[in-house]
Amino acid sequence: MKPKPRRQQPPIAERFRVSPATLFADRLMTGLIMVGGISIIIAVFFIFVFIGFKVAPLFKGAEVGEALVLEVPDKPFVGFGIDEWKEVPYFLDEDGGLVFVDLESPDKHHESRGVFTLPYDTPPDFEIASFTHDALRDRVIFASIDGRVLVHEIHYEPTFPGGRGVRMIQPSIESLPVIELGEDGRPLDHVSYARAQARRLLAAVEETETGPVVRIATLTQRRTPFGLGPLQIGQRYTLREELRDRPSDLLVPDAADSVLVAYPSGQVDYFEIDAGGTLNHIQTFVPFPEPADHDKPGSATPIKRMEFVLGDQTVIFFDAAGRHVGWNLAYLEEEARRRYIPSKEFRPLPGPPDTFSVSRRNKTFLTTAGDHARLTLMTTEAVRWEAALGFPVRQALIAPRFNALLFLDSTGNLHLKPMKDEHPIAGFRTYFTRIQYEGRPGRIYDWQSDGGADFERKLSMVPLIIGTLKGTVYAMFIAVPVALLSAIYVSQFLRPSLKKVVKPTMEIMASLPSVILGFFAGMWLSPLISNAVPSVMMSTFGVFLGAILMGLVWSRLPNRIRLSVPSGMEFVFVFVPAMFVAWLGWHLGQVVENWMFLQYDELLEREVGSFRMWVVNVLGWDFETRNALVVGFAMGFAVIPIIFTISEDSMSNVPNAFRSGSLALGASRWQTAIRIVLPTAAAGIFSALMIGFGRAIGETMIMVMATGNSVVQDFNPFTGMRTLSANIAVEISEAEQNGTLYRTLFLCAFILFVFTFTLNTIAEILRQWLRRRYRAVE
Amino acid sequence: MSNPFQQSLFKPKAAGAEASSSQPDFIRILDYNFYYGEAQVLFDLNLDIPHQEVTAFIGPSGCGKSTLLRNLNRMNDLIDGIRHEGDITIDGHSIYDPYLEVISLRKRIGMVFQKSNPFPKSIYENIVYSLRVAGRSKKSELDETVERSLKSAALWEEVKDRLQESAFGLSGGQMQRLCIARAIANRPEILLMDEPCSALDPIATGKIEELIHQLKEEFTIVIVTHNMQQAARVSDRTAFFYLGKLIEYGETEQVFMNPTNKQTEAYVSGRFG
Repeated sequence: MKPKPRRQQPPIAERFRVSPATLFADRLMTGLIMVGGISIIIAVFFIFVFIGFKVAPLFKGAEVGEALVLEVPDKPFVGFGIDEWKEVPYFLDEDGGLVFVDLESPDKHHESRGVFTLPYDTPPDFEIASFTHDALRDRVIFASIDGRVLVHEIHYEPTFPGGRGVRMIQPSIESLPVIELGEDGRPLDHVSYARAQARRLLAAVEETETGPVVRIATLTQRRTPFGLGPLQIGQRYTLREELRDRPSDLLVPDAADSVLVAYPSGQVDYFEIDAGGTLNHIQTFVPFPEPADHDKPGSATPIKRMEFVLGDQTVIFFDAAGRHVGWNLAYLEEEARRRYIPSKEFRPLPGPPDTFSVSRRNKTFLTTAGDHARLTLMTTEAVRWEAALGFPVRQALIAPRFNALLFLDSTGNLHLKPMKDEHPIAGFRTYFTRIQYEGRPGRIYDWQSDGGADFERKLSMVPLIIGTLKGTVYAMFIAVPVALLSAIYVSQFLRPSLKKVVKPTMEIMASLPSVILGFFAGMWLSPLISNAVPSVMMSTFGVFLGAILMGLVWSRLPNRIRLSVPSGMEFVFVFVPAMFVAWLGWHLGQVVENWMFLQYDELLEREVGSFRMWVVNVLGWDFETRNALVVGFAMGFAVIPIIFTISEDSMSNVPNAFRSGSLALGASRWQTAIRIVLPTAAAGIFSALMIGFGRAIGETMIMVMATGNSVVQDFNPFTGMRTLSANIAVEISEAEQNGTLYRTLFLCAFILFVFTFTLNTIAEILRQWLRRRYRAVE
Repeated sequence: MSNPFQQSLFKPKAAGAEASSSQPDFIRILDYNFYYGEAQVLFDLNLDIPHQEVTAFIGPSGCGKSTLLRNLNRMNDLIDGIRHEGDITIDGHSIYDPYLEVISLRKRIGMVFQKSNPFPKSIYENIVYSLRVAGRSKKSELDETVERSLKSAALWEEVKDRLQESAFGLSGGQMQRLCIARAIANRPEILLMDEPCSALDPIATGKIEELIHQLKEEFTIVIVTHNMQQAARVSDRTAFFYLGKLIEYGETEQVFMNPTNKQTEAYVSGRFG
């Protein structure tokens, strides 16, 4: 006998065999279902990771690379600047002389020009008393010993001397005509110059025989048919008695409409030229009211340095200890004017501020103290980058395109550090903390994504989160009672034959595209509601009140009438009166409006009944046509069918044994519904609410079309809102790929995702708990 | 109170008078026909159920015995498209009286179902449910009711220490006894039992049967059962139904020992069914 092959089974009769097709189908389907299930989990996880990757760069600081060390002439330069292409820096020596250096780099196709200078166009008798360097605008402003001022601007231009492909950056100096700012022919100091379109302002301290005065002059240039006229002094101002002391510094903002004067005492005076051309003293303030060293009590700390950041709305004051604070111009309603208010307090530098440089692209600034360098974003006070460089820094500069940091050390080496900071204004504080924005009197959350380089973008997530919650709360406020009550009614009271009609109708409602609801809400419902709030309210409450009253009447009806109505058909007796009450409420609402909400209409010049005007005038609330009430109704329509369908299902699925048990004990249908069905179906009802909530949170089209999309941060029912989802839809066309706004919109999505994910997880845990608690006996 | 039926419901009865005034026609079923839609399931039923006795309905599946039982407290009202002819009276009053509130009828008639159906609540709350829905919530009354009902259902000793625990922690037999305790908590006059032991093991069944014996001192009991031995053991009177018709009705001993009808004989002797 041959040995049997292993594991061979005894022969099975044909009729007991499982056909290979059955086995194959079984395995195939098991596999498919498993693959499908796992890939859904992977897909959700992938979306999460993808959004995470899009968002992550927003929370990174600046990346500063290894320095490229370049040799430059070893002179004690007092300032320097560079072109956008980082090829031809200029250095300002102690006498105000300019030295240009052509930096060698491998991709250059022209001969290096090495070190070269460009002459200033200076009159021969112009003897320099002092000069100022404006690194932000590449200006050198000279003041002569006899009160004259000369402004030079350094310009760079790419030229192509050798034809295509050979680019050479050509610096040039544009000089303005000499301006006689001083009136006594004495030396000038602290000369400051600003230009805003046609408006120019010069200011300097002139050392007169009676003491120092501040000379201020506006410059005008006529536009004639033959071109621009000569630059002339328009208005002159002199600050003499107004000065508290010898000024230690002067600052003129780019708007060319005001002057800041700092004194050694640590005080700062703010003078403004008003529209009529009068120079007014607006305020005196002390940036450092407390002494730097707390052990030595004394008066205010002197200001070591004061500088504007881009936009010239915020001044940064430094003291000798390295403390620095920001003061910005804010419009104060009660004074109806702008003045400086303390707005920022930065982390102190380890020592006195040696250098200061402002970005031309954003509101960051670079400061150094000894060998310590720090890049700070003014708006949020956040440090973007800081490091100990290992060499004392003589001069520092942010490259014009915000792509490099340059440091000049004391041995004639220029350290060029490439920098990557694509989202300088982003960060945790930008998105989630209250920020004092320029021009505003206090710290606020705000969303205003557009803005130029010198205008602060406001990217707070908080108003959007509040708006999302507001929209959701109002939607749920309307949807939950209606959906749950109708689900109880349909599952527990309505005749089964009618239920067969009602339920599919509600399910069709659920499939109504939200864009249609949004369109209706925005175009039809919002004007209707906003003109008839009392009517809408009276109708809505009328229906409830009417239903309750009808219930009372019903219970008092003689049994013979009451019991002759077939069970499940009682709704007719509530529905018809409720409709009548709603109709009555609508018309009574107009009467009430004309009676209680009389307001004087200035256009019609008579009193009219207007709830809308009453809200604005009496309550002092805002009233917008597209408001939370409209959204509540429209979103209610989107959410009601979902909550209704799922909770109705779960209530219908309560074992009949419970219902009959309860009814057999003499409970009414209502008692059965409330005491037995509702708790038993709690898990299902809860998930219905959560799914409805999820739908409301993520709903976009209705929000875009019916909310007005204004950034509102209150829960006033008569104003709109901007939700996270609507924000994405509205702003997506403005967002440049991988830009800050683009990633910020992904952050909105991320928050929405986290929101719903957390909510759903909590909901699922609660649901499981409810299910265990009220599970039916097996 | 203008409702004569309700007056009779809550009329206090003298404890001594109750036992002596045994009414042979406490529940009367008169020329009763019952339809589910077009299908007739009960045909011309006439029977009187005496006060404070145990009456068993027996018969093969689908004979209508459960339907009849469920009509006694109008539980079938929940079904769409039902219709009846004839009448059922309890203590002389029609249960179809248009003046009658179904809820008060059901308060008067306790019911125990085939499958035990405790609510997803504590043992205590299960018992006092009928009191709570009647708006009675005095603690002492509730406590007293729980103890009395559980003692009547012979469950007190087993659960008295865990009244606040979920009813779902009980065994099958205990659950059914809990349902009986719940059904009698509001002191109904009639107790309807729809195959109360069909899902129980013999020991639990024995306990319930013992309980039925005790309960008949207080209640008029109508029990539907598939188990002929059970009917023989617990009931005083037995009604045999077949295809919606009442075939035989009489003293249990007579129906089982000496049936007048061939079909009854065949059924009780186990030859069909």
